Amino acid sequence: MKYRYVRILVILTLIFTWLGFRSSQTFAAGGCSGAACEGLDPGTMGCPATTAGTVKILPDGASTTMTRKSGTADCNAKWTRAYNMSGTSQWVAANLRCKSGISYPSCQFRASAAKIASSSTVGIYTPMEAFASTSTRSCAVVRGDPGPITTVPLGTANCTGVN
Amino acid sequence: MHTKNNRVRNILVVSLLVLATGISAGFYLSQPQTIALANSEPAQQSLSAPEKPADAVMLQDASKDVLSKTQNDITVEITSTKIISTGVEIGICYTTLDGGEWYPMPGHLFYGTYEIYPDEYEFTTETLADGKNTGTRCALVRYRIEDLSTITAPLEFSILRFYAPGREMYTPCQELQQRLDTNPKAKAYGLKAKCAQTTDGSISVSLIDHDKSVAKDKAIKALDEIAKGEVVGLWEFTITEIEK
Repeated sequence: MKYRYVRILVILTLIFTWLGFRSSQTFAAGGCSGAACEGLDPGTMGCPATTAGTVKILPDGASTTMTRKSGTADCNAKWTRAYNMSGTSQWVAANLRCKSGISYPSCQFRASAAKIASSSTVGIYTPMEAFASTSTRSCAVVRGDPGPITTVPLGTANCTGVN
Repeated sequence: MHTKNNRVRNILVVSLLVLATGISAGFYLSQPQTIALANSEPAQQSLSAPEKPADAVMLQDASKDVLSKTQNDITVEITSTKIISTGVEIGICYTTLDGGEWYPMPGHLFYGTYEIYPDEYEFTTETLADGKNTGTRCALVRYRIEDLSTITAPLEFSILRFYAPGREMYTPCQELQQRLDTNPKAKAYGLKAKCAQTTDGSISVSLIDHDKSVAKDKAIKALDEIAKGEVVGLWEFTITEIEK
């Protein structure tokens, strides 16, 4: 009787600890989460994601760019995806921009190493930026020569709105 | 003295256990309890809250007749047409043949002597395909027009194609398998496929089994169409009523 409360507390501690570990092992999806995802490839890490906000149609009228968001229960991160759907092989660059004060400087960037074929299924995406709550815009350039794209401007013609 | 020490020790032990229980309960409650997977039960999802431009003004009621066209098993419905602060916004809902992420490719918008490129679109709601039923996805397609006074009915609007790009969480073959598992036609045909990823990131797919009630040619054609992840239209609409 004297140790009844002690026993109950020990049992409750063990149960909650076990349930906590069980939850984290069963439900966490993706190979990283939050800060641990920073700069990593979302495909390699298998991060579940949805498109956040608007899909921007680039000036060629067909190619697109969008922000991908993996929720807090998954990888808790964001990145930019871009598709060349212009009809011909093109250089492609995707650029995630993250809010800093009142501006959106570049935070993640990836450009194709060669021209990539027009395709609605094979695109490029940037490495991840940690935390799904980060205020971002996604920008992209799809163009022909000359050579690889090194910078992507921030503008209404080639960037999504804030998401 | 000895009894007093025991009492203090007991109080300390109980306090520590209460603290440990609280921490462990907090740890349990902080863990994610659910996961959304594409092949879970069909559910109506709100994908994002569409932002209504502050200066969108209603001048007339929306069209009472829902415009609808079906091509290649995909039905497209026009749910709204509005003049907004940046141009024209057209609401659409369309069939998704499987649990993939199906995107529309809108065509140019024509009115009077004007031809406008599509500017952006935004998903609003989705019901996922589950292998028994196809799904539905809704979106708002926007066209940027500087001089709103030029906009006159009728508007010629079209969707050129729908496509389902691979999702980051799946390898290309896993993507195909997930889409086969959620495609009612694939289920009805009993399609089983062998999939191999090629060096350029694309996939090589071949049929290994199908329902005997379905001709092999028909089964192969269905599998090829699913593996392609693209359905070409055209879905064309003449919109005669516009909300302003």
